[in-house]
Amino acid sequence: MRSADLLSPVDVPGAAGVALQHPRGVLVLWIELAEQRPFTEEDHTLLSVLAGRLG
Amino acid sequence: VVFRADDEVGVDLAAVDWASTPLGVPEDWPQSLRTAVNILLSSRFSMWMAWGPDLTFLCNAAYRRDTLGSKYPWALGQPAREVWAEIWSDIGPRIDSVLTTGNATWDEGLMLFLERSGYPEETYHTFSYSPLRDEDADVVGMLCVVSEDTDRVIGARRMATLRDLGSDPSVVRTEAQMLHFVAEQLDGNPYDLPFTLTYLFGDDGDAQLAGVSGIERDHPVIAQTLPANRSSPAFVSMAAHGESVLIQLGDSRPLPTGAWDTQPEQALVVPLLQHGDAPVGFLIAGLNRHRPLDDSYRGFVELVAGYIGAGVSSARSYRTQQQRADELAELDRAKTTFFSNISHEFRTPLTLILGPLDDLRHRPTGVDEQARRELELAHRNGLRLAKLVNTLLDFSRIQAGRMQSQFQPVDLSAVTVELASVFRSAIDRAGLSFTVDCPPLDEPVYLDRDMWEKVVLNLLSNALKFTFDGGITVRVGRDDTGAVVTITDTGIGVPATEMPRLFERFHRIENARSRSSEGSGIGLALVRELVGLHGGTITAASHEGVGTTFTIRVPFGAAHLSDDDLAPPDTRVTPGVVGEPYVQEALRWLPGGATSTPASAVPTLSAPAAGADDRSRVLIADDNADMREYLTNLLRSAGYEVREVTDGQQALEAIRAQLPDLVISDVMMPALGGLELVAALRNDPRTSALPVLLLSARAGQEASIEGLQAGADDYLVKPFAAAELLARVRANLELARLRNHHARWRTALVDSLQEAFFVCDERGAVVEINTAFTEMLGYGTEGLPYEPMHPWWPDIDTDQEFHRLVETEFLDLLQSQQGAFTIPVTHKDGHRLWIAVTFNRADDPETGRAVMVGTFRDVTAERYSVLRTTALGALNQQLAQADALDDALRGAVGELQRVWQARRVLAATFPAAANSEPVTPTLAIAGEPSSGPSSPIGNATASSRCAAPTC
Repeated sequence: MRSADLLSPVDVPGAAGVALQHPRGVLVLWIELAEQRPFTEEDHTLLSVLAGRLG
Repeated sequence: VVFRADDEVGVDLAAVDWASTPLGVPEDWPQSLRTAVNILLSSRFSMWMAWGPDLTFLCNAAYRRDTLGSKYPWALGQPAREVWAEIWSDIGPRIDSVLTTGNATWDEGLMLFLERSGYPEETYHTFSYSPLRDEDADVVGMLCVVSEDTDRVIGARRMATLRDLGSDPSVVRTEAQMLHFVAEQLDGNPYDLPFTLTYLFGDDGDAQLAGVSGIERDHPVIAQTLPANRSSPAFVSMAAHGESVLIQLGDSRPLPTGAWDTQPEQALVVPLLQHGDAPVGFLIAGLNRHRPLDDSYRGFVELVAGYIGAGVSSARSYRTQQQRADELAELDRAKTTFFSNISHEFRTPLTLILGPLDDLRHRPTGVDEQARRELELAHRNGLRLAKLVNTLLDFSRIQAGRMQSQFQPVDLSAVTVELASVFRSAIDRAGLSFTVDCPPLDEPVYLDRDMWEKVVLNLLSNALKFTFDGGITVRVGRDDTGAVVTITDTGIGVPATEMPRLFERFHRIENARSRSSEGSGIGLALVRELVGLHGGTITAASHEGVGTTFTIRVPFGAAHLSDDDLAPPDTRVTPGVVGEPYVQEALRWLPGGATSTPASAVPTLSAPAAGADDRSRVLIADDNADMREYLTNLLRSAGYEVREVTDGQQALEAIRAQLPDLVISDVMMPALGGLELVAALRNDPRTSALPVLLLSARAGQEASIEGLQAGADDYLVKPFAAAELLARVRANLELARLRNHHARWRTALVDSLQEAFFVCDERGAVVEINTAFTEMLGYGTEGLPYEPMHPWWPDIDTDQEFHRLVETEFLDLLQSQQGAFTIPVTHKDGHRLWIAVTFNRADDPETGRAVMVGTFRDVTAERYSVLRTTALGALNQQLAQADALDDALRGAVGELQRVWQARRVLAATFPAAANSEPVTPTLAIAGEPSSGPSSPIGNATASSRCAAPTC
């Protein structure tokens, strides 16, 4: 994840993550979902938006 | 000298040693004594007298003969107290009373046990004691005038027993009842019959105890069985050969004593004779030991035995008769069942005879006059056979109690007028007058229309058959409780001797002059049964050569009918097809025959309304090849496109391959019957509205109700007329077209909705959807019905939480009247969307069942936009409150966990380094602390600073 495109969420079954710029390097946010539920298109968008804001 | 008046007793009196008595020698007797003795001896009436202080005994010849017995001549000159020592306790007080008061006594039929025959003998006497006075008028003796009543009293007693035995109120009864009754009566005479035992011979010849009187049945001395072999007493075999035997009982075993103080010492065994056959058993009668077994006593016991024998024979013969009657009734039932079965079998071939015949008769060309006449002949007889089959079936149904009736309140007058009009042309043609006088009744009568038609038509047909001059009158009137319908003719009448059997089944009056010699003798019997089902009565009055009147009474109202059999009023006015066979048959009796055809029989073979390109498609399912071919030809010639199959299974396959417009199916078919076919079609949404016409050989409402309940649109009973079948086919197609028009219009409306539309049944299965539904969820009408859990629900394994949410909302929907909710669902291609549903409960007007009607729209975009705004706002707030970088990161991780309700969120900070170089990131965690295998960060250092509150 740390070498992935910044602010481009990636998902695997049951989890999703996104990388963003950090003053000390790269910050990876990794969300482990409570269930094996699908991480939808809208979830991707929302994660990008939140990660961007955090960045 | 004193004893001269009688030379028999006088001699013996003279021989008495009078000197040793208180009276002294007769020469010294006072005149009063001499006179008394003289009167005594000269009377031929039985008398005795006593005189003097010892009451010295004297009697005359009549007394000696009737009463004294073996005490003569010893008693003469003895003190009266000694002569009648055994009864002195009875007569002594009476004599004392005469002597002290001087008043005479009177006793009638007094029972006295006299010891005059060597045993205490039961005797009865009527007597008077009168005083005898001496010269000083003092009472010094008494005179007894006596007549013995023994024979009269005992005779009367025995007669009473025989009379009681004959007083049996019931004519016939079972053997056990008869024996019980006998025992009761014999118990009433413990004098002549202290006890009795009745034995009956079984088939093996053994005698079984069958009845007792005056003794317990299980008394120790009684043998319950006396076998036919040598071990039994001799009297058993003697009785079996019809001989009476007197047996000695002895005193060693205690026996009941009856009315007496001592037990019988003898018993008489008398065979129970039956007319012209071996004895059925024997009677053992304990005998009264105070009476001799004289001819009268023996005769009495034999009469009792004779009564028992006759009773047993009669009970046995009754039982035999009863069994025979039961067997006959059973035979009758079997016959009825047979008729019923065979009648069903007749129906299919009858259809195939009558249908083509009808066709040929109405063919305008190609049939010459000769052929036409023969066709008419065959047609009429076919109708007659059909009518007979129907009548037999009605009968078998009534007898089996399976006649289903539908009683509707009707205007009896109107219905009867209508039915009568069916017969008018035939009656006119016969040259008879026809009077129909049916003023309206002010109360309705509950009738089963089909049954009532048969009643009236049968009676009218009967009247026409037997009337040659004059006319026929039909009247409707009323009395206090009900309607009265009379059908009167001026026909030949019924002989008085035949009247009792008039309504008997299969009874025909022989040699009666009539228009036709045909007849099953079943019509009037059926009429009576049908009237009875209406709670009514039918009677007939007739005079030979004058005419006959049948009077039917049917009660008003429905109080006499079962609620189950009631039906709402029917507006139908025309008589059903039932009428035609009756009229056809009647017309044939008339000169000129049935040349014209009633209007109702003209078939209308017009083509269906639709044009040639739009030919209606009919599928025929019948296992009878002839029937298939007949129906196919009939329908093809009427312009339909016809396919044929041989059973219900093939029909289902054919229908699924290509949907016809109408299905005609036989009920009884191999593989899959007609009723099952209908059920299968109704269960499939694509064919649930497909019209189905069932054909059956089973007549009667119960069969058609069964067919219609299964979901058939119409029901036709074989044999049917071609015209009727075509009319029904056309009507059903027309109805279906109308229905389809409505359905298509509705579908178009629903499909035009932009919102998704669905209908759920009460179980929650989605049974109808529109186009927008399919566009939004990807699921189309081909998959209907969609049973819950619906395929668009979030997956139960991978998405439990949303699945639970949908489930909760869905259950709520099923229980609410209306509402709205927003749920996540999964498109058929797998993508998630959110829909906002609103729903309302509605009732299906046809089935009355509740359904949920709902619409929904896709709110995914709105939902996420709201979510985004909210999440961004929350994140901004966290960031604004944070003082340092770590604070900001910690707040953000917590917020992310909340937004996705995640199990855990990690924030890993990797110091800047080359990508390939392994570094240890700093971790911030919200949610569960432990590191799972799914984490790509793997073995992060445990020393990382923990940001999450749960950490």
